Amino acid sequence: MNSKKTNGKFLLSWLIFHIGVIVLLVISYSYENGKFSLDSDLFNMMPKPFEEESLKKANETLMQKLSKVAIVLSADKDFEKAKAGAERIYEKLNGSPCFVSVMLKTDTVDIKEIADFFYKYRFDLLDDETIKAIENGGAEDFAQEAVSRIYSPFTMLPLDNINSDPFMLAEHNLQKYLEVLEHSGTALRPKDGVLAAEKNGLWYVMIKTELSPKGAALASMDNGITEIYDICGKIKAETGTRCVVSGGTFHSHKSSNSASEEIKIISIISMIIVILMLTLVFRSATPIILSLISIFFSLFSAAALTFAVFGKVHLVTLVFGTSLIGSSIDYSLHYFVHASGNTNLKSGGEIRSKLLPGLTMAIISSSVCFLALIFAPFNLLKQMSLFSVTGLVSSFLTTTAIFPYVPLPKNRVVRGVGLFEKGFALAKKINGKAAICAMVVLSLILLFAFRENFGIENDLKKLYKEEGELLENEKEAYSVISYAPVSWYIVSGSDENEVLRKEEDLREKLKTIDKNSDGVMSTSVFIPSVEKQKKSRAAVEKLLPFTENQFETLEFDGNEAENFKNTFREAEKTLLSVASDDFPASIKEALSSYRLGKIKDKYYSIVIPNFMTETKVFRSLIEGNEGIYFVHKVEDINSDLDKVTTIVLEFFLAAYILMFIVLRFFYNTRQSLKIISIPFIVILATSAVFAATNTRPEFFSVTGIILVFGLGLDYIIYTQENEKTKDPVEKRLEPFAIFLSFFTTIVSFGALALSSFQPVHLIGFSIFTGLCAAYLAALFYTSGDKK
Amino acid sequence: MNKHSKILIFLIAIFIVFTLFPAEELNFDTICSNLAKFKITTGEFTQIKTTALKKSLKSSGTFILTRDGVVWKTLKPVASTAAIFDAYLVTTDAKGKKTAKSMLNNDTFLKVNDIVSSLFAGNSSEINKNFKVSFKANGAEKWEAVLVPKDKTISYAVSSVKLKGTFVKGSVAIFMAEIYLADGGSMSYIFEHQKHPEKLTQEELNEFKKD
Repeated sequence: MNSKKTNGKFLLSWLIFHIGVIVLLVISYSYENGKFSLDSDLFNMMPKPFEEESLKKANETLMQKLSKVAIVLSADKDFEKAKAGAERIYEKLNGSPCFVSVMLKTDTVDIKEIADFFYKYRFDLLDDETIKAIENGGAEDFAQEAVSRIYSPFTMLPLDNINSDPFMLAEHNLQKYLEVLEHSGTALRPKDGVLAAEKNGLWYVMIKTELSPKGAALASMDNGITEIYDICGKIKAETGTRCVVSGGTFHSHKSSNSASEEIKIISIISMIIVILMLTLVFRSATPIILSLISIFFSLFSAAALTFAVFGKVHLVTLVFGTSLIGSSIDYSLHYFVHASGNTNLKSGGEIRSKLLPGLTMAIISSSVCFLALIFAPFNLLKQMSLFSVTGLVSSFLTTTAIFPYVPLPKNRVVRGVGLFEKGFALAKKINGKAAICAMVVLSLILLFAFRENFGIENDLKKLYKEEGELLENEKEAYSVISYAPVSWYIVSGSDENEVLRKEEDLREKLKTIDKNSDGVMSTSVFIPSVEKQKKSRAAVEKLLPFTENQFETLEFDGNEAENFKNTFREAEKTLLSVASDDFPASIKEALSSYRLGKIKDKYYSIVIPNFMTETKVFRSLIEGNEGIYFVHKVEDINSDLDKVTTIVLEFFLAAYILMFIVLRFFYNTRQSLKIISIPFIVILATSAVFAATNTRPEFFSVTGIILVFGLGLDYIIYTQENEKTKDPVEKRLEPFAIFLSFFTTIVSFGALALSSFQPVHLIGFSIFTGLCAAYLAALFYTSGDKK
Repeated sequence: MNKHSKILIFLIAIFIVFTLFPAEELNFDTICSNLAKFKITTGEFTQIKTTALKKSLKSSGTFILTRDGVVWKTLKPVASTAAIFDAYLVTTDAKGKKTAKSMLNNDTFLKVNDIVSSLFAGNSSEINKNFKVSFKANGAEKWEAVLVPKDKTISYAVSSVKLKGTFVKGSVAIFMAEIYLADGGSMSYIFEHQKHPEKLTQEELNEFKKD
């Protein structure tokens, strides 16, 4: 009866937990209006560089924009064929729901619209150099130059407005604007209505696309990238014209697709190996089926709660989930080894009672380690933490609540125990303490020998290696486009004009380090601040005394001069502003690249230098400037990963100390020290292996080591619990159960180490190494012991 | 041989000469091939710019055309010079201040420059590649051609170019060019006192310098 009551209580716990998770999922789903999603954007798994909310959002907005751009160059020796290829690509992609925009034609630039814009704001757009020249007595020269321009055969704008623009201000401003544009953006130029460039005997015609969320959905065969590849493949087969692609989206597509394929293969292989092992050991389908059910519930509840809490879960969290298979099965294995082999225990309830102390300590130690990560200021870590703890708790409950209901097998034999004992007989004879010391000393020697390789170093470039055709494409595309900004400034202000003013100041500073006058692109290139526009008008005011002479030279009769002056005074009432939205389509298109607009309570824009120099030089320009931030995508992520890695280690140290305190409640000092030494040995051994293999510990491998603490401690805890056992049958079974746990976990994590996706590979490699060290240490702690 | 026989032989000879060596047919290719003989052309121009609102702006000056570049020297109403060579546009104001601007990245400008050069160098294949050409001979010695640009980049600004010239004793000259702009305006040029020296004077050579 008592057993039934206890069974009932455990079952109730299991039901409350799993139903609770489902209820939370449903509530969260309704609250989020069904907006659960899987994030497969590589850069979204990185920590965000800014703490201020609105600035974080501004940087995210920008990164999202940049990360969705995909460029396709249609390449052929013959320009017409290259253009035809580009037109075909454009027809296919334009209108597809996978793309927000597809741009090919330059004739969408309405010359009249541009001319009208520069004419309307002709008094407001003089550049600094011209303003200075006019202010310094150069008004007459400017006026004469305007006359030369009027009579020159090389005028850009029509002369229809000559009576209201005798100084050719619109033409002057347009020319300056074009000079700035020449240095900005890509090296392609308009040719026959498209943007094209010739290089090494090939013509390249550019199609620039921006993917929609559907188009950017990665680990998917139905997205924008596959559409691009499809049409490019057809064109190449039919005409020989090939496509050169460029953009982070292609790399994300490749790595996420291969990661997704790998995960499937890794999971399947892990499962097959585990099933084979269990079949060989138990010769019965029941443990396998029940273990699979446990894994199912474990993964389901882990995923469900993580989605319920976060709404948007990163793909890497789920990758990590494949490792939960190995962890979950540990509890099942311990149960079934005793269910099949421990004839002293007559019921499921007795097995549970026997295993409960060890399982409880195991789950507490693992959970403490995982939960340490939930306080990390990094969403991916929080997700991984919640996912793992939930999965383990589910597995624990399934083992303790459901399995005891399953009737014990009639033929209670566990195969492999004898083989295991024979195989590990040698290890058993080793002096355990000496072996542990040898492990520690060897690790220290390796660390010393390879000390140059030791040290935390996060390098984003090492996490993803461009290779193969994509790398060649990027090189070729860059040689043609010559534009791939990796750093920029984010400028913020309380209103649009403040942002423009700050931009103008920053641009002045950037001029001092711009050796080749490559220039800078920003919103203020197109829209000057109010203050600058007023300076422009003040300069035009200095031209007014020359108005009569100007019209005389141009052979105008009548009151043209007076009309012009009146027009100028009338125009004083309206200045160009961002809010007016009174721009030609081409300028609006350009502004969308630099202007982020209002985010929360501030306005943001970006300033992109068209030249490279040292990051510290860029940063030095904004020292003491509030509201301007320098962003170097890769360097910032590396630096933030370094910080987060350090935070993870600090959190772990806290968890380590907490764990020791918890252990002291259940074990004496000697036992507690033995247990707590395992993580130390793990860190030492893993660091030594990393140093010897020239693998720098970085964020993902450190996260892997954290996971090892939780899992690795289980072996020593079960070992300690087994030491309390006096029954010889049980004493033999437990090491075998630990070995089985180790084996199945190693298989699943070891498989991750084979992944070509670097973050997954590093986690797998560190866990594999750490677990081997933990298991060996646990084994050596009991070897050579007197019985 | 009697007189009749001599006249007959003379007529036959003339006939043979004209059959074997026919007079050159006047067509665009002929114009181009004859223009191509001149490496240097100098002369005077009168330019009339007419806006879409029919305001006329008249200027005059001298020009130098070579295979390597063009110098356009306005003398009236305001002195200034524009020279194009080595993918540079070099402008000189009335005070003699020179400004050189690289046009390497300006494909439109380079395209226009190539077309102008090919026009005056008589590069018919280049001209036919960029324009639809309609040619008309006005008698034996005058001709006109209308060129409509094929390239969209050019046709946005220029809707057509009309050329008028002469063809006298195997020598071709363009005496008038009218450029009709897409906005409704036009630029017309009258070229006079054209010469084809073997080489430029030092003063003329100095016009092809950036500073």
